[in-house]
Amino acid sequence: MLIRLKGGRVVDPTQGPSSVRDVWIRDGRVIEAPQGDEPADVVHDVSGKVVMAGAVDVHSHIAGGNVSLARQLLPELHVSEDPASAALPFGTARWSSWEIGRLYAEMGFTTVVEPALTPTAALHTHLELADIPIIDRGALTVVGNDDHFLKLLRDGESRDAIRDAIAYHLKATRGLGIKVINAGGPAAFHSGLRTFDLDDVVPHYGATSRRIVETLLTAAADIGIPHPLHLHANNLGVPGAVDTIKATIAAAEGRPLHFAHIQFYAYGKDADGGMTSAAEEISAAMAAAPNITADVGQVMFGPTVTISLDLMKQWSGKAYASPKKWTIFDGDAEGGGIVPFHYKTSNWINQLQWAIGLELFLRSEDPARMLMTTDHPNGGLFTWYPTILALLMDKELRDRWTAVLPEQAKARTGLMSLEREYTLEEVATMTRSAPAKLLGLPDRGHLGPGAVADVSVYDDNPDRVAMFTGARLVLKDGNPVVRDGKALGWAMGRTHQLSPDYDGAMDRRMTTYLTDRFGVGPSAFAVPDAAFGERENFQVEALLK
Amino acid sequence: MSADTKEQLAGLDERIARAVGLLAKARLPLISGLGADVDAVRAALLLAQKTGAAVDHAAAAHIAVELRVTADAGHMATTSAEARNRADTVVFAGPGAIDFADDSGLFATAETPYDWRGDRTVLCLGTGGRVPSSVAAVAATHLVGGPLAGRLGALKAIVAGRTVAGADAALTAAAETLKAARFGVVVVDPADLDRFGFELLHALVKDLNDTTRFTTLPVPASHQGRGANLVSTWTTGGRLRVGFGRGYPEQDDWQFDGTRLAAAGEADVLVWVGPLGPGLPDYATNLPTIALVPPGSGATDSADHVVIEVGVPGVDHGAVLADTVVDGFSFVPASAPSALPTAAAILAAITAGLATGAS
Ligand SMILES: [Zn+2]
Repeated sequence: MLIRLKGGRVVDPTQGPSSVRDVWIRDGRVIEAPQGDEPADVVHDVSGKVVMAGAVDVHSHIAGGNVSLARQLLPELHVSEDPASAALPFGTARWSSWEIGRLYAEMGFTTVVEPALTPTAALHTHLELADIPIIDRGALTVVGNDDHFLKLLRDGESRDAIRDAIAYHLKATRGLGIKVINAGGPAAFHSGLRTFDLDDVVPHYGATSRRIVETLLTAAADIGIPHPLHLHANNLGVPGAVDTIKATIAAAEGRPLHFAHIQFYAYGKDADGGMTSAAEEISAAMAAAPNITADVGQVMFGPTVTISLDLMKQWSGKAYASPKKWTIFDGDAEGGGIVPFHYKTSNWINQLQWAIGLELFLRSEDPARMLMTTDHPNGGLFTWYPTILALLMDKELRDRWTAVLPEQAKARTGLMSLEREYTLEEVATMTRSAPAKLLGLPDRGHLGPGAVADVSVYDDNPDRVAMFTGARLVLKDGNPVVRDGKALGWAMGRTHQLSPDYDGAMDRRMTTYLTDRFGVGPSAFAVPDAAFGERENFQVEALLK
Repeated sequence: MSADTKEQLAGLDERIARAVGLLAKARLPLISGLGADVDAVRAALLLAQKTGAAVDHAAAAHIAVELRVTADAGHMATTSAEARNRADTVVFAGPGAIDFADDSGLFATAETPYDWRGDRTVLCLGTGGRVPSSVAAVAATHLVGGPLAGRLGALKAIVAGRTVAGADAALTAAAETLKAARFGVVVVDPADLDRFGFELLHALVKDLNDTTRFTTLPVPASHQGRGANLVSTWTTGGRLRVGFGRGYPEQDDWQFDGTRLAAAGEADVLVWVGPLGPGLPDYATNLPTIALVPPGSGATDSADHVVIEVGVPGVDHGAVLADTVVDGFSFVPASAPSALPTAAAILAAITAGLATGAS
């Protein structure tokens, strides 16, 4: 089938300057304009509209045991109140997988990555992801805190053995990349420690956080994982954490490394130990290290819930739980901490966190290396994205928000002096081409020939919040899935994964280990196709050569 | 395919049509039981959204005690593998914990990947004098009798440094045992406590974490209770019990309690989804019923009791089940594949029948 998107202003810096032109699609892929006068089977007239590739989110907690635990902890935070239409069962069920897919798609997002795929909850996580409609999904396999890995380090195992062990976990759990959380911290928490820094040692294993990160950087490169090691660094939320980031950048020694929700580390410390913005310092450190990427983890105001495998952080964070209830789950490796939190406009620290996030966006020289996230739901819900884009694109709007900042916050951030306004092209880079490339999804995030025909069409509305909240038209694989800001029905996307090879000896070795540990062998982590019935759920992506 | 199976399948369309007919005229269907695999629960929730039904589960204590306390106060918990491997102190709180340990053999091995753990200290609390027979590598066993909730309250006070009138030596020693743990786990069956007692237990465990590491291992819910509630959690945004009368899910433990809905005459048709049991509840006698049950359940088909025999997940057909391989979900292949339909397929066929208006 030949589809023509007619007369829109195409904003896709990967294909050159923005211009009014047609986009042609055949059989779910973008193509060059056909030769001759072949008529389109379907024409979407998008004159006067802005046409972009579907947006991509690299870090949003949308599925898995800890997300469901948060749903169970806080029923009062997501009371449903609108009937679902017949075409969209559960589509208005708040915090459901169905609502997540609908809301993302209506904003023009077509691929979203869950960053915490824990091996023992791999099937659970994938079952939830498979029930998120419309969008494509992926997930990052969590490694680095489990007994098996830490013993490899303790026993001085070879680089090949470690490569194979990580490849085994990645393939078994069907992840799209690997992530490590406060490397060694959760393991240390199980043994009673309550703080953990880059050069602290995990009890009983003799490995430092630094060594875990360095080992995983090597393994990621040896396996050929396109997405850089995704790092939730030590000392999240601690004044002075900027030093941890700088030390970790140094430890990467030029190798690709992605910092998750870096806003939560862009904190300096004044003489009294109080929090200040270190956004400028972080931006300078990143400018000098082109191997580093980050997503922001922007804080927005209102009640939310923090969901993290960083047990140590959640243990200390529970003091600020609002409402006063929380859950800590000691898992087989990390586990989870669920702590409700209310970011208040009346709290100068929360205001400062908000300002620091925006500073990071605006100070980043390259929109491809500072990506938009709220670490949903940790800094705020992903539905804040249109507001964040509006704040980045409009200095006057920012001025209205910063006018009410308390003096303590104002004195500690340079946000008010930043004049920069993001262009639509920078937005397209930050929310489309850069995250797709970073995840190793070369046929997404752009509208060049061969790209998957995931396309978002927006009104060029000066009210950017309205513009990005409800896309005029969204195509998924060339098919309309959203029109006039409303999802049309439940098309189902795919979950993208890697499937690296490794030495067969690792299969035997892991079978023995998993049998000893869980009594069941490889089925402990297994995510078989049969679990999804008739659904064709997975798509394997290429490794780096 | 056996002759019997052929006969069963032959009557299937007719029975599905009768089920559709019952639901088409229902004011408030009740879908319950749900001792079923993930696909069946997904299909049941879709039928509920379609018909405005109320949805309940047979594992009442899991909902009324364990999940209720999570929503009220939060909790601390761990996995069975961590309890077995890491815990140097294991508290069996209540008789259900003893039964679980001995039935599952969870602590029957001394082996652990954590070679620093050492032998286990065992504390039996409110177990009616019982101690588990299956625990290996036991350094010492302590026994504290008396009512479980009362003992938990006293221990919490002692751990917090308060003096407790009438605290005997065993209780004081028990508090010391708890505080001396490096990684302690309380094994508890939520059915042995009401929600206040269960919340008290978690308050004690949280307090203990100020100075050491402690957590709990709840005895798994019966009849796939954990799995069914999780499927509801991601599908509707909240756990069971849930009702769809307004076209969107409303979670309410009292309003959508199946036993209450039946007794009050509010529910006017029951859809019992029980491929993994339990059998039909007593109240089914007085309600038009659509029963999805395994062969040999003894349920008899009649005008307003439609009985549809379905396969057993993990036996007749492969299925995703909870807590069978590890804590959480795993795929269990069919051990004796048969042509019996899945509960999910029957529920989907009924939903489709309602959509087309066929009856
Ligand atoms: Zn995160």
